[in-house]
Formats: sequence, structure tokens, C-alpha cells
Amino acid sequence: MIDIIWLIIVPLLAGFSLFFIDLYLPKLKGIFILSNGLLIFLLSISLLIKVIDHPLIYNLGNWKQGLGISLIVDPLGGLLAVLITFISFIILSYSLSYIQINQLKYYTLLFLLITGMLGMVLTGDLFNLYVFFEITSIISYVLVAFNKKDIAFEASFKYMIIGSISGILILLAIILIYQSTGTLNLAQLVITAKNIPLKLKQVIAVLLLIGFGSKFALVPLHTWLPDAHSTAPSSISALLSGVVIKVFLYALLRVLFVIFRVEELLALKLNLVFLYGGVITLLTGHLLAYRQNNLKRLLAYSSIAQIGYILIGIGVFNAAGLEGAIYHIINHAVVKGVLFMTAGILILKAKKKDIADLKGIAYQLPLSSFIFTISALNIVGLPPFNSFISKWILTTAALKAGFIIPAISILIGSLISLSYYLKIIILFYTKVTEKINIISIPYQLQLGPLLLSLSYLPLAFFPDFLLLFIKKAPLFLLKPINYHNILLGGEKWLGLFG
Amino acid sequence: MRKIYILILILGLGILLFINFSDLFEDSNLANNKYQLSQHYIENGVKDTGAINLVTAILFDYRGFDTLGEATVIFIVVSAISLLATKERVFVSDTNFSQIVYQNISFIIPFLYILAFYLIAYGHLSPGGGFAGGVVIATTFILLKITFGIRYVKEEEALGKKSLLESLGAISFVLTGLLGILLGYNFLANGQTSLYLGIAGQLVSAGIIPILNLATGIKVGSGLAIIFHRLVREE
Amino acid sequence: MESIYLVVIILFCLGLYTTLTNTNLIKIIIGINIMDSSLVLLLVVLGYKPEGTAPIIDQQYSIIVDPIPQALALTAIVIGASITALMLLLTIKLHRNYNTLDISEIRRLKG
Repeated sequence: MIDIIWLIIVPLLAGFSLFFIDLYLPKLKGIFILSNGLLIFLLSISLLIKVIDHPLIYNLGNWKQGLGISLIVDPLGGLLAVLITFISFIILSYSLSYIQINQLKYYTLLFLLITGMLGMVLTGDLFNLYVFFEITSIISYVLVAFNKKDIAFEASFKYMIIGSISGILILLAIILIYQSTGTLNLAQLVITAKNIPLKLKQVIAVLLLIGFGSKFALVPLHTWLPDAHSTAPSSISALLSGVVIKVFLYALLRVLFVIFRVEELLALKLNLVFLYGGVITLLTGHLLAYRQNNLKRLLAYSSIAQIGYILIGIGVFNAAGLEGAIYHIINHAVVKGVLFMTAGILILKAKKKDIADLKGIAYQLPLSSFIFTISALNIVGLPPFNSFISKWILTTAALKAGFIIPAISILIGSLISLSYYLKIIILFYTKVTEKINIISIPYQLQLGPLLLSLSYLPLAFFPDFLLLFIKKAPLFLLKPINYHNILLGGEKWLGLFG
Repeated sequence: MRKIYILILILGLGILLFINFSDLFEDSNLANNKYQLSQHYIENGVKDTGAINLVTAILFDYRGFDTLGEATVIFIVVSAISLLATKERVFVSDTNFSQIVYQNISFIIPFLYILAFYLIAYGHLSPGGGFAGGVVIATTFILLKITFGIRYVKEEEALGKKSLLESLGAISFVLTGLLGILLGYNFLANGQTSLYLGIAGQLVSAGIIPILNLATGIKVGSGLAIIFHRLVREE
Repeated sequence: MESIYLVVIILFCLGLYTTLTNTNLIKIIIGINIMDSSLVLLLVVLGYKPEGTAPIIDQQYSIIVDPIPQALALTAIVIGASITALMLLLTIKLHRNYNTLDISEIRRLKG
């Protein structure tokens, strides 16, 4: 019997013991890092298979429910855990040839970042969520400054100021929740949250929205993101843009749906906040991305825009919208990971960051440019790629629920993104006479993005495979009583329409 | 102009919070609700965990996982600061103090160590615990550094040893937690298992709590010392 | 009792105001720390009961203050201190690179 807790212990111990491995067995470091990455990936897959039918609970220290801290995993948590460990494994292998300096500290922090994200996804305790939230945030601040350039310090400081204010707001919200209910266990909160007066609930919702919103770059709280994600090393940008902001989004979703019932959320008009916040985020992200000259900044703005799509899906507040949103979270995490990793390779080769300087690079690095092209077309949402499916689900869900403007803006956003990605792709494949000075780069660098695309792209032809897992998730979000029933170990889950 | 906007915004926030706070804390219905969990801790905490200091019982047993997270946060910050700080050697304090200072500091250091280990070892019986004790340990390093400068400490070597200690503290925290799994229970299991808790109030009691306290103390002490050494060289 | 909550709110708003309006890096950090301290104060006040003793049960007491907020406050303090250390390190770095502590002069990156 392999328990949930190993998923947290393994990366945590790996991060702590890397110092000793470096000291006594420096030759085994690469193998140690990769095998740990693979191990947590396999663990998360076994967890997902178990959780998909029957959500699990793990009581730390054998305390009865509510006395201690519990880990509670429902299908959404399991799905995100697999996503985190998969992309982390690819990024660990990519970093082995990408990061040349300060390797010890880099991998220590990276393993602890994985721990933090997994903790946020798996935990079933409100204050524990805050602790892991801070772990994830602090490592993000540090890794942004990893290059030790003055711009990196500036971006990191900006991120840190906004991040710590948002952390304080979330702590205030958690204190208010604890004060009015007396519980910190998320599953018990489903029941006890009825005690919170409605007026206070509004305050809590606003605090959570601002707190987590500034973490996943809800416009107008997005100003730190392009700086932070473009100055970080490319491997870190891939992780930050692909997974970390999604985990913060997950935390907001989880806490909101636990504390509020769906009717209350609708009464507070929070669905409109999500929908039109999503529309504004989407359009702002795309329009600002269109104006960028720096490749990584453009990708960072595109990430903001993709968050907009996901928010629209959440704002629809029904099963279809949530399915689309979760599908798009997975699509964007994988594809943006690939895009940032290949962008890192191209920039390393050309030694320049501006798009105009990368002219004709496709003839020097055919494989990486091809992967970049495919992924760019994928994220735009052209058929037959993965993002087309998720955007299709999102649009139909919005249309069915009667929200015309969001549905149209999804279309407009995709057109804008098509225009700026096409501009880059055409530039890549333009013939140039003078060659970009050739810096040889290790071929292993291309393995990571190649593996990620090869394993993910075929899924576009079997959309039902992913939907099989995704379809279970809204059950525990929209009917939080199901989430509470995990505590009792019940076999039957209430249907969405029951 | 911007300042006035912000002032108005913040005043609004303050009034909003005040209204909610006064509602929240006068409602007796909520108060009853709130005390259920803490009432359980107060009534059964000593029996469950063997620690008579309930804050320690909560920190290291009921919510031990949070404490592991905290220890990780300190570990992260130490790694981050050694990563980002410059490695070059900078002279910090060349000030010559009078003989009285040197003698006094040399005299006081052993007592500070005793205080620190008292705080750590008696963490489950009296106010204190790993975090407070660790801070006192770090204070001794800081005092030595300030008074004797870098002349008496071999810098890099000492920092290497402290990082070793810090990793050791962190690992031993996790390993102590794994003891629970080894015995067939869950991670960080203590009171609910077959572990012998001892008689509450004695020095050797409360199962794994003193061990966790010791691990945390070592970790926090060496971690804070490293942070100070790195930061002071940045000047 | 009411007045303590007022103090918490005033501290919180003061910290937020300092953080949002000042341009000096050190003052911004001080503002964030004030906000953090106000929340710790709030946590301590939450657990308080009139005439309650500290939650160390070496004999039978009738009223004992709530130990949970104290444990949470400890966690909040540790996390706040860690972030402060990190922010101060970055301030030193920025000061060395730009020779100023004024955030309006440190603007190489733009929106």
C-alpha cells in the first residue's frame, strides 16, 4: 500500500539530502535527481488511478478527522499532481544540461518547489495550504533572481512585494474563516461554513480573490508576471508559467467552492467577476503580447491571456465550463512548458532575446523550431491540436449558458494570438544570408521538449481519454458535500443533478 | 493625488473590516462553535500527546506537518541567501572593543548555550521549544561574530559545517516522522500509536516531540547563523 | 475588547498605506512587516479569554486561553521573518547595483 504522503516525503527528502549527495557521491547526482523525478511521477500516476474512482484521505499522525492535519485527494487533486510531477520530471532532465552554475542550490530549491506545489494540491487543511502556498511563493521569488543580474533582482523584488501582500491578505482571510467556524479542515468547512455571516463571506471572497488573483495574474494584478517570467532561467519560466500559476488558481477554486455553495456564489455575482475578469485578462494579455519584441516576454503575456480563458470557463459555473477550464489548464501547462523550453534553446543558440534577432534560426535548429511551431499553433487553438478541443468546450459552454460576449472574446483572442505567433513563425523560417554565429549546444537539451510534445500531442486524437478523468472533477467542486463525504469514506457520490 | 486615492481606499477597507470584526466577535453563537476544537485540545491534549505545554503539543504533534513546512521555509531562505549572496570576502567589523566586552562575551556564551538547550529540551514542559532555542543558539554565533569579527572564525569552513548541521536537522525531522510509518501507523504519528509517551510532566516523555524539538532547534540555530553571516558580508 | 480590534485594523491599514505610497525600499519592507505584526496580534487576541492562564497544564486551571491561534501565530511569525530576510537581501543587492533605495529610480523593467 503506497500512501499519499510519499508524494510529499520523496521530493522533500530529495531536496534536503542533495547536500549530502553532492558532498559524498557527486558522480551520482544526475542519476539521483532523475530517479527521484521519475519516482514521484510514478507515485502520482498510481495515486491518480486509485483516486479516480474513490477519493482518498490520509490523516497525519493518526489523529481523528479534524484534530490533526489531513491530506484529502479528489480526482482534480490527483490530476493536477500528475501534471505537476510530469512537467517537473521533464524540466529536471532539461535542467541537467541547461543549468551550469550553482547546480546544488538550484536542484534543492527545485525539489522543494515541487514539494510545495504537491502540498498545495494534496492538502486538506486550510492553514497547511497557507504554509505550502508560502513555500511555493518564496521559492518562486528566489528562482526568478537565479541569474543574479540586476534586472532579475528587480523583477524578483517586484514579485516579492506583491506576493507578500497577497500572502498577508490570504492569511487574514484564513484567520477570519477560523474565527467564525472554529475549523481548519477543508472538508469539515463544507458543513461549518454555514455559520459564517453573509457579510463576512463577501469580505473573505474579496480577500481571497485579490490574494490568489495577484498570484495567478488576474488583470490588473498581473504587472509582476511578465518581468518575473521573462527574467527567470527558461527552465524556471516553463515551470512558473506552466504549473505554478495553475496551482494558485486551483487553491482559489478549492477554497471558494468549499466555503461557498454555488447558489451563494451566484447571488454574490461572483460568476460575473470571473467571466468578465476573464474577458479583460484575455484581451489585455493578447493585446500586450502583440506589442512585445522580447520572445520570453511575449510568451509570458500569452500566459496571462490563457489564464483568461480558464477564468471564463470557471465563470460559467457549470460542469461543462469547469471541464473546459480544467482541460485548458492541462493543455496550457504542457504547451507553455514546451514553448518556454524551446525558446530557451533558441535564445541560448542565438545569444539574443529579441524576436527580430532570431530571424532564420529554423535553418540552424530545425528540430527545436519545428517543436516551437507546432506548440504555438497548438496554443492558438487550431484544429486538430489539443487546445482546439478545450477552447471548443469552453466556447460551447459559454454559449449554452447564454454568455455571448465571453464566447466571442475567446474567438477574438485566438485570432490575435494567431497573428502574433504567425509573425514569429514566419520570421523563424525566413532565409537569411549571414549565419547566426554558431554556438554549439548540447543535443540533450532538445530531448525534454521533444518527449513532452511526443507524449502529449497524440492525446488530441483521443479527447475522451483525458475527459474520462476530467469529467469526475466538477462533481467534487460544484457539489462540495461530496468533498465532505470523503471524510466518511462513502462509496456513492451525489450526481450533479441529483 | 495618488496618495489621497489610496488613503480613501484604505479607509474604506478599515471601516469594512471594523464592521465585520465587531459583528464577528460579539456573536456568542460563533464563540461556542469556535471553542469545540480548542476545548478538545485543552481537555485531552495532555493525555493524547504527553506534553503539558499545549502550544508545543499542537505545533509538534497535532499540526506537526505545518511545523515541517515552517522548517522547510527556513531551509529555503538559507539556501536562497547562500545562493544569491556574493561569495567574496568582506571585512565586517574591525572595531576593537575594550577588554571588558571581550571578557564578558566569553563569559556569557556558555550560559547562552545552556539556556538554549534548556529551552529546547524542556520545550514540551515549559514555554520555549525548538524555534526559541534555535534563535538563542544563533545569537551566540552572532555575538561571537560581532565582537571578535572574522579574525577568529575560519569563514567558509564554518559555514560548510553549519549547512551540514542544517541539512542534518531537516532530515532528522523527516526521519523521525517516518518512524511512525515504520511502526505501521501514519507519518508523524506519536500519541495515537504504540509509542511510549511516558508520564506527563517528566523530562523524558511525550514520545517524539522532544526529538522533533531538538531537530528543529539545530536547524533553526544553524540556519539563522548562516543567514546572518551571509547578510553581514553583503555590506 | 473592541479597542484591541481597532488597534489591529489601524495597524493593518497603516502598514498597507506605507507599502503602497512609499518609494523607499526599506520603508516598503517595514510596511509589510507592520501588516504581518497586526495579523499576529489579531491571532493572539483571538485566543484570549478574560483571566485565562497560559496553555501549560501543570496543574488544574479553570480557564485556559485558546492554544490554536498561538500555534498559528508562531508559524506566521516564522514565515514573515523568512520573507523579510529575503527582501532585505534583495534590497542590499538592488542598492549595490543602482546606488539608490528609491523605487521610482529603479525602473529598468516596464509593464
